[in-house]
Amino acid sequence: MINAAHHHGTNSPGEKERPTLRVGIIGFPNVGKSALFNSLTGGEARVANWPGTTVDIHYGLKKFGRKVIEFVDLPGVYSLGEGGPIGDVVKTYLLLQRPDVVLVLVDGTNVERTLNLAVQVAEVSERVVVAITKVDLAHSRGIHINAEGLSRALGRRVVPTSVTWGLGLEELLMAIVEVAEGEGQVPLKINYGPLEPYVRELSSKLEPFEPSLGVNSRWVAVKLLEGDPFVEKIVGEKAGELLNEAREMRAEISKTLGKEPLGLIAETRFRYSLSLASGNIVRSGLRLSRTERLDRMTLDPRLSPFISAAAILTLFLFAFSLNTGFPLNVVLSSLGFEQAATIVDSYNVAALMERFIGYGTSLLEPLLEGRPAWLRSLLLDGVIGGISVALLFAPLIFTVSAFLAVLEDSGLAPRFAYSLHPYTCRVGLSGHSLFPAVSCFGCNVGGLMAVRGTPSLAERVKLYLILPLLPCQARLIVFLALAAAVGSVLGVLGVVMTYVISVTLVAVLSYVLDRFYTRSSRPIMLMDIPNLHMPLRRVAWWMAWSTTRHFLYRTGTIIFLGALLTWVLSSFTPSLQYTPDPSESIAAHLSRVLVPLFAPLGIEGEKAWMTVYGLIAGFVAKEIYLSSLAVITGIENPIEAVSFLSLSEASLLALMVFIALYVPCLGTISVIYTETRSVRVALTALVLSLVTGYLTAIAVYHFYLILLSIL
Amino acid sequence: MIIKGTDLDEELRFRLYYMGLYPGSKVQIVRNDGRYPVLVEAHGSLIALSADIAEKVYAERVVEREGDQ
Repeated sequence: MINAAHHHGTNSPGEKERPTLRVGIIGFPNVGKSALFNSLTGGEARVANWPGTTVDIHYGLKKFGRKVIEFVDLPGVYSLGEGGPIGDVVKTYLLLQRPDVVLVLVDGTNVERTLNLAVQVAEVSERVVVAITKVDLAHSRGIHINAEGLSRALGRRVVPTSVTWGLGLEELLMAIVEVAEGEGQVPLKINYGPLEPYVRELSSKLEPFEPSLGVNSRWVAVKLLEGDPFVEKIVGEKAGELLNEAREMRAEISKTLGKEPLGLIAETRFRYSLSLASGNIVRSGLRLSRTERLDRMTLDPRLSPFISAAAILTLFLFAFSLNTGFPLNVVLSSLGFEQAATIVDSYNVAALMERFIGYGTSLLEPLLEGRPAWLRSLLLDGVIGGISVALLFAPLIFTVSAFLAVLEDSGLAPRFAYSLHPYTCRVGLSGHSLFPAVSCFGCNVGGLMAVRGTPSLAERVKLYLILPLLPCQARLIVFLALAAAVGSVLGVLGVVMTYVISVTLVAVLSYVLDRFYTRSSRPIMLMDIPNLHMPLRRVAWWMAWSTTRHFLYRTGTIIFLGALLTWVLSSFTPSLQYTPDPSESIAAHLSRVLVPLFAPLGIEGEKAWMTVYGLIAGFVAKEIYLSSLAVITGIENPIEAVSFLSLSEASLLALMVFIALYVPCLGTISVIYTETRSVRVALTALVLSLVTGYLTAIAVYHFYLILLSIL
Repeated sequence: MIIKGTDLDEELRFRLYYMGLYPGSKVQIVRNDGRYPVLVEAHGSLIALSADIAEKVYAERVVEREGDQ
C-alpha cells in the first residue's frame, strides 16, 4: 500500500494524450461527486483497480485551454480519519501520490457537516480547490451560501457549482489551473488550544523529516497525537523513534487534561468548521420538499421495513425477469397467458445474447472450412465459446449495477440498511450486510465488493465466507435449465426450494460461524444517513456502464482463460493428442474418476461422467456448465441436453442445489482474495461452499426419495 | 444531549469522533425506540448507531436555553 506511488505509471496506461495536470476529487459519498466528475470529463472515464485492492478508481480526461487535466475520482469518504481499505486508498493518494491539485467537494445542502472534510484536506494539502455542489437544490431549499466569505476564511478558492444548471464548471477549471500554477498555499492552521504546546513540540521534532515524509510536519504531529494508524505506519518507516515519543505524549495528555487527544482534536476541528459554516450560511423559509417527506417515510418505524423490502424485491424481480425471463414467465403462464410467457422466454437478455452468439458462430463456420479440425475447434469452441460466456455475464452485471447505483446515489440504500437492521440482526448480521447480500443474488462478484462498507472486520470476514452461497443469476440460468428438464410444477418448486435452502444456509452458517470461527459479538451499525435526492439518470447509467466494462476486463479475462483451459481439457487426450470426441479427453477421464463421489446423489451409470464433466467446467463460471454439456452430448438445446443425461427427478433436484452452492466461480474466489489479502479466507470460502453444497445435495436427494415413498 | 465519552475500541472511536460524535459534541436523539438503531442528529447529519454502540457512548442531558442551536 505504502509504495503504491510506484504503480501509478502502470495504473493509467494507454492514454493518447498525456495529462499535464492531475486532480484528485475527494468528497462524501452522496455529495454529488460522480455527477460532477461526469460533467467535467464528459463521461469518458476509465476504471482501474487501486493496486492490490478491488477499490475502483475512475480516471477521466478534460482538455482545458492548453492543459490536459486528469481527474481522479476517489472513493467517497466521510473524513480522513476513516480506516479500512477505502480510507487507506484516499490517504495513500493524498499523501504518497500527491496530485497537483486536490478538489474537495462540499454539499451545498449540508455545508455544516461536509465542510469539515474540506478543512481536514486544507490542513494537509497545499493546493486545494473547494467546490460547493448542488447549489440549485440548496437554492430551492432556501439556503444561501457566501462562497466569498468561506474562501477568505479558508484561504482556498471556493466555487459554487450545479451540475443540473451547468453552473460554475468553467470557473472551477480555471481555479484548478490557477492553483496548480500558482504558489503553494499555506496549510490551514487550526488552533488546538491546550494541545498546542504538544503539537508544536512534536512538529519541530518532525521538521527534519519533512522532505522525506512529503507533508507538513504540523499535520503529521496532529495525526500522531490522534493516533492515526495510517500515519503512524508511514512515520514508523521514516522516523520510528518519534513514534514512541508521540505515544507517550498521548498518554500524558490524557492524564493531565483528562481528555483523549483524539476527541479534543475532533472537537476543535468541528467547532472550527461549524463556526465557519454558520458565519457564511443563511437559511430562509425552509419548506418541506417532496423528497423530504419521502425522507421521513423511509425512516418511519412502521412503514420503512415494508417500503424497503418491497422496493428491493420489486427491483430484483424486475432485473431477473429482464435478464433471464424468470420468474415473470412462470407467473404469466400460471395466469394463463401462455403466449406472453413464451415471448418473455425468448426475448429476455440471456436468450437474445445466446441467439446472437449462435448466429455469429454460424457465420464464422463456413469461413473455417478446410482448416485443421483442432484449429476450427479452438476458434469456435475455445475462443468464441470463452468470449461468449464472458459476454453473457455483461448484461446481468449491467442491470444489477444500474439498480444498485440508483439506490446508492439517491441515499435509499443506507435507509434500507437502517430499517431492516433489526431483522438481519436475528441471524447475526448487521443492516450493512443487506446491500451486499441482495447484490449477490445478481452477481457474487459485485455483491462481495460491496462488503467493504461494513464497519466490523469480523462481520466482513463472515460475509466473504457465507454470501457466495447465495445463487447469482448465472447459476439461476443453469438451474432453470435443470428445472425445465424436471418438468414445470416440480421444476418451479425446485427453483424456489433452491433459493430457500441457500438463504437458510447463509443464516445458519452466520450463526454457526459466530459461535466457532469469527467469534464476533453482536452485529454493529454506525452509519451516516444522507439526505435523499433524485438520482441522476446519467450517473446511474455511467456507473453501471463503467462497472460492466471493468468486469469484462478483469473477471472477463479470468473467465475467458478458464474457458480456454476447459477447452484444452476437453479437446486433448491424456496423452496430449487432439481429439474431436470429448469422451476421450482429459476432462472425461477426470470425470470418470470423480463419478463415485456423486453416487450418493443418485448420479450413476453410463452417462454419469457427463454430468460430472460439466461440474468441473463450472468451477470457472457456472454458465459453462450448459455449454460444456452441449459440447459433450452434441445437443445444442440445453434443456434437451439435460434430459439426455436421463437423471431421476431426485438427482436433478440434488444437482440444482449442488450447482447453486458449490464454488461460486473463479471470479468470486479471486475477489475474496483481493478484498481480504488472505489466501486462508479465500480457501476457506472455497472449501466451505464445496462441503456445504455436497452435504446439502445429498440431503435433498434422500429427502425427496423419502417423500416419494410416503406419498 | 452532550456527548461525554465512549468505551469503544480505537477503530470505532475514530469513526465516531470524525462523524461528529466527539466528547463535548451537542447532539439530538431523533429516535430511540429500542428496536431500531438509535438515530442521532449531529451538526446537520443523521447518524444511525446500533444498540451495542450507543450503549458505549455516554451522553448527558442538557437544558436547552432559548435561542440555543
